[in-house]
Amino acid sequence: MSEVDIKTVEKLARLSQLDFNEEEKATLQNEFGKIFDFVSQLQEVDTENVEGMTSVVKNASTPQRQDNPQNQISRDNLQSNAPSTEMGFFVVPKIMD
Amino acid sequence: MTLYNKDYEIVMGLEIHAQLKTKTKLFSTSIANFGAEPNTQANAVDLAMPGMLPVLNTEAVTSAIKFGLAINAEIAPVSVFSRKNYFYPDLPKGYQISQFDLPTVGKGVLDVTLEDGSTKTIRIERAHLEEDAGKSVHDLGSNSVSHVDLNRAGVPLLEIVSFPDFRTPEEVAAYVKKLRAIVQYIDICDGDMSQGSMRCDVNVSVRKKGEHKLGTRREIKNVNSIKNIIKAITYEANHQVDIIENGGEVQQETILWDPDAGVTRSMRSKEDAHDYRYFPDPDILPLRISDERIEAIKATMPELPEQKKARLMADYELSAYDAEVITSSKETADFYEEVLEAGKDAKLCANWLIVELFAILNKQDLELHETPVSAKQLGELVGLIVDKTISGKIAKTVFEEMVATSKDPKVIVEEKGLVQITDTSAIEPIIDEVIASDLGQANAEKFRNGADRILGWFVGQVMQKTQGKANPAMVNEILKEKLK
Repeated sequence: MSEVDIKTVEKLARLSQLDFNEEEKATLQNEFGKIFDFVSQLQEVDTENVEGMTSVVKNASTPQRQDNPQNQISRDNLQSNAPSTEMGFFVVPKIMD
Repeated sequence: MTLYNKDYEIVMGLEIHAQLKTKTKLFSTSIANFGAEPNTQANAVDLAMPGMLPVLNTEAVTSAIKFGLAINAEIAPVSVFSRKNYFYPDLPKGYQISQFDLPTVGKGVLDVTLEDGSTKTIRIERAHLEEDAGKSVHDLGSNSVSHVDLNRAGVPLLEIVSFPDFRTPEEVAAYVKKLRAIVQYIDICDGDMSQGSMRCDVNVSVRKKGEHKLGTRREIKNVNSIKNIIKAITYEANHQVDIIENGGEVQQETILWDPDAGVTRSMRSKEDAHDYRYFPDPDILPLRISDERIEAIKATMPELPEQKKARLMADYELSAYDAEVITSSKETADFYEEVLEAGKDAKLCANWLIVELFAILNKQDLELHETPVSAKQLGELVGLIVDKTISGKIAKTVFEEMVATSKDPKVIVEEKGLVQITDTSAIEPIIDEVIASDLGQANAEKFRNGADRILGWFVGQVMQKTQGKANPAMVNEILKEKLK
């Protein structure tokens, strides 16, 4: 099985803004290893001279729209799901880094 | 010189974010104006509500193509939008849509003119389209919360990345000015650094002269004026040399320029260095740009600063310096054209703009758009000199009055009775009077004996008696005749 070191698990947790205890980290270490094994099967395919594919629709270009304002939503409506708002702003826990 | 230690040189590269002047955002139909009430210009796409799909703004693509054409860059026939992943509350999707390995604009070049008149070619690596993030405010009220405004979330940016071709802060300043002029000429960005619509990140590293390997770089973020760019680089480069000379190592990090303290400060430590895990955005197909589209845009390209400079030099015989100053921003160039419309004489108009008006603006610390003398008024003043209504000397008096009162030059000339005397029958008696005086007779004698320079005394006397209103060329001519 692929070896995933604990540092990689910790880095991914940090990037995902998640906290794990030691037991959970060990579980993830094991599960990541299995996932890597599964995905690494793809490496057996010969991709020499094959162009990278970013979409299944060949030669299509992304749709483009005209530069016209539309679908404006009132602020009240826009913020109706927000847990906390103040002076028109969304309020979130302090995020200074 | 920037570096105190002459054994070192600075190596810099620039990333400039130009906010595009589109009406709507890059992938949503929200209005993209600056300065609205918080969260009044955001919609479900900007908030990353479930099920929303981004649809590309064609005008943003056109802007990128225009920029590519302006720097002679290759426009990619196929470019790809990627997700740049990171967590921050002003980025609701959890990723920014940007371009990674396939940007819309490829390699290009920009020639910049330095203060000594020399030219340096700066290579541009790429320019890519991306979304801006929202704005977080950390000092509104309670200490335990931050406030988020998503009006700016999704506003289109063109990020212009240079190669590490800069060696002095002056080169950087010249490049930023040139780039600002270009985006203004092609009308894709207003170029206002103080409002943040053009933002500049400088990657600074130092190395011993003669070394080929680049030193470790530190990135100075978001410096908001050209003056501050020069100061920040100067401080940071010397700081890095100090670290190395004291046996230390420069740590790669992102830093902020603190203009009040005059120092750079660390922003994020290396440990938290971002790993953006870019991958192609599955919501957006590749962008394909046809040759026909590029050709059609090419046909609508306005005159660029370089072309305008060449034209001013060829058509009006302006000096390279004058032409450079006039074309350095679109605002100045437009102002000059308006002065010229009324003033006719191209060289004289350039002179009055660059020497006289700019001196006043500098002195009063005003921007061109705050000028007390409008382009039309300045042109009319030059026109009065050209048609000999007033002399150049009187014009300076009129100009001072214009600066003080913003009145039209014609009004001032009439009010103060400054119309130049070009009537020989009015000038002759005055000249006769000067020559007939005791001193006049003595000096006339000296003149006839070969003291040519004494003529100046006569001219001065006549000008004094006419309060400077006599036409100097005519006075000269008549004097020479009468003193024979």
